[in-house]
Amino acid sequence: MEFGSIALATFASPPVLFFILGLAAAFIRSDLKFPEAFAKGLSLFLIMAIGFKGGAEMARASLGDIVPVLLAGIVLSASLPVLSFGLLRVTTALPRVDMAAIAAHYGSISIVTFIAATDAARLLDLPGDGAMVAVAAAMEAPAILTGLLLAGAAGRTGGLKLVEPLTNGSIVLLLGAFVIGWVSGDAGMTAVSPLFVDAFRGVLCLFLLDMGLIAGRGLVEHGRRMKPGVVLHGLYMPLLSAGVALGVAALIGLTPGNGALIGLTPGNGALLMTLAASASYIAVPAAMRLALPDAKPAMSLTLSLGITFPFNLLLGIPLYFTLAQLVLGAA
Amino acid sequence: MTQSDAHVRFEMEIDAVQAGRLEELLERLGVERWLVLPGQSGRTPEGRWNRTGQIAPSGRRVLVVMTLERGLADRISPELHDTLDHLHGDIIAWPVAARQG
Repeated sequence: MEFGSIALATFASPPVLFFILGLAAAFIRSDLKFPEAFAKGLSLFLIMAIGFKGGAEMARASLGDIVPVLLAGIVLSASLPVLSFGLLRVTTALPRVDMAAIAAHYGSISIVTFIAATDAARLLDLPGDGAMVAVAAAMEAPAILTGLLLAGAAGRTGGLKLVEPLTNGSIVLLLGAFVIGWVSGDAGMTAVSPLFVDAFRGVLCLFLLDMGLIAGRGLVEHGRRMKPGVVLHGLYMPLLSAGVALGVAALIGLTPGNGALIGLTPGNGALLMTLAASASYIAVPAAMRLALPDAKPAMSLTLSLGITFPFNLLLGIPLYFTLAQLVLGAA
Repeated sequence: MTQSDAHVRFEMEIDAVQAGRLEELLERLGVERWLVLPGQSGRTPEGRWNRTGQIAPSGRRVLVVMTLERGLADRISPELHDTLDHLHGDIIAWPVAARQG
């Protein structure tokens, strides 16, 4: 499949169209909104479903297959903030602490972007493996440590315990559901599939409508105050990160002795690229607020949620699948 | 029920994500009652925010209120001010006639 047809397929899918509706509603300042508890419930459902499905698929695979990609994910998460920080230093005049906070966001991941990518993978018939859920969880925290080092705050974490990102509710639920899916296997999957499989895309539509509203309102409220160099960072950084991840995915695929489960399939490659390209807007902002209270959350949140998230959803994901197919499909 | 003029009312505005740390401090300082009130929306030098426009608590603010006897208030006030300063919070305190059950 070429980029055009992949982009059209993902762009015309109901979840993405509902996201665009949310953005549009925010821009025209509509009063459309979801009750906070309902929106929270939707995100819990999606995280639980993706974790469970990943675990159930993992039950069919071997643990050894996941290790190379798991390590690659951790290295990517820890090193991408250095790239982001360096580029911000060259292209902006932001205070060091803000650059470090933004860099941490770009090393960590957005689980919603990952969920949207797994949906696209299914739509494009390029499915990734369930084990990628574990990779997503492992990529959440290392970037935070790198961000603190870049801010010069090593050893002075402002009260943040570095285990806190791992106790973040999303990660606990994701890993917990993953383990439950793994333990219960195919039989468990069959039992809960009416909820976790059949209803998944409908709930994703509701959730992305809400995300569109949130991202759009963030842009309306803070967008005008953002400098062009910072805005551009939100657009080119995901592309660079995805490029690095594609190189890593190709490298893992060539590792002798590595099984065919991980690394070789375009679906897995595209998911790793999506994880690298996505920017955190839930766990890292909260962690940075604790560890680097001088950093401005409005800027990094608007950048990751208002710019990079829509970019990945509308253009990035189709592009990553196209490139992964080109590079890894031929492997 | 007791009544006294010798009380101090505190209002502390702080990022929601920092509220837990402030509560830990209050507990350590021997404060036995306070109330954390959620913020619906507001404005900081960084711009306007509201609860519906946020999925992480990092931009939200909460208000922590408490009424303490003057002796305790005087004793803990310096540390409270230092902490609020460090956490980029605001604190105001004024003497009140309080009635606490």
